[in-house]
Amino acid sequence: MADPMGHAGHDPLLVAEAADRGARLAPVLDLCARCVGLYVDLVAVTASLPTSAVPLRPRSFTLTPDDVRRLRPPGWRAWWSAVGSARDNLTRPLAVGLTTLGLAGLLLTAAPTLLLGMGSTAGSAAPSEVAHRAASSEPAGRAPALMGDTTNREATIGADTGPSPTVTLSVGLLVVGGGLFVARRLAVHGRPMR
Amino acid sequence: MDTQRARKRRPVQPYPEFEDESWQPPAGAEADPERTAIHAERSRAIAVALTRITDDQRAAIVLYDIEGYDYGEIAEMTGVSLGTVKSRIHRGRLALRDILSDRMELFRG
Repeated sequence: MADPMGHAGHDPLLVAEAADRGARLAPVLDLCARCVGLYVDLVAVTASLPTSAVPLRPRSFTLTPDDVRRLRPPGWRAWWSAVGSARDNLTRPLAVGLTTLGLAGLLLTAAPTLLLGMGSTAGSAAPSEVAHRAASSEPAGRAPALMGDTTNREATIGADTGPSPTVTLSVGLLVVGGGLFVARRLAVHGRPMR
Repeated sequence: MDTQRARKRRPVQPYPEFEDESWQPPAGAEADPERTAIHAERSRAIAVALTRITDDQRAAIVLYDIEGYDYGEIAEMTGVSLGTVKSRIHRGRLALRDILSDRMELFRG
């Protein structure tokens, strides 16, 4: 049966659709040699696409300014991402310095106190014991005044045994320095590998 | 004389090609120069043809025929309907065929 419209009247999309599904052409198109040729060509091109057309993928990993803006974390995360990174040249020396100062301060203040304390406990009695002895040897009329003296003396002793400002400062420096070390470690540990 | 005859019958080295450092195992059919040249030429022709169709058609064809996604996935990725994806693929293939019409002998073999 001849097609009265000829090839110009045939829809090439129908041929493409049939070629895509691997289906037979419609009877009208099957009789048209040019449609059959188109069908064969489309099947051949489609079959060769997966093996022949290898998509070109960019091999350049250079970041554009837009990429930098997009990838840079906002706010405090920008500061946190800098901690412990290669460009961070502040926190490590700061942590080392603060920890060293703290340790040195503790050693300088606590070591003489410890040494003197150990020496004095061996050679003398405790201050409260001395006060108790004095109270028992004094007459009864002076007892309230003496008790007041004892209270004042104990208060003074209590004030002497509390941490001195130097020790407090040293402990503070030590804690801050150690905290910086821990923060660096946490920042590096929680960072994804790049 | 008998020893010489025995040596001729049984060579000392059963695999003389192992002695030759320039020896290579025979290449397979995939290394056929003609076939390699045709494949390279075909790849070049398709790469050029792909640059000459529209961006939408190229994206649809690359995703479907090369990357292996199905119509639904491509529709989701490109944000268009299923029919549009099919239409772009079919029109793109027709455009490729038109561009490659004078080199179709590369693909028929």
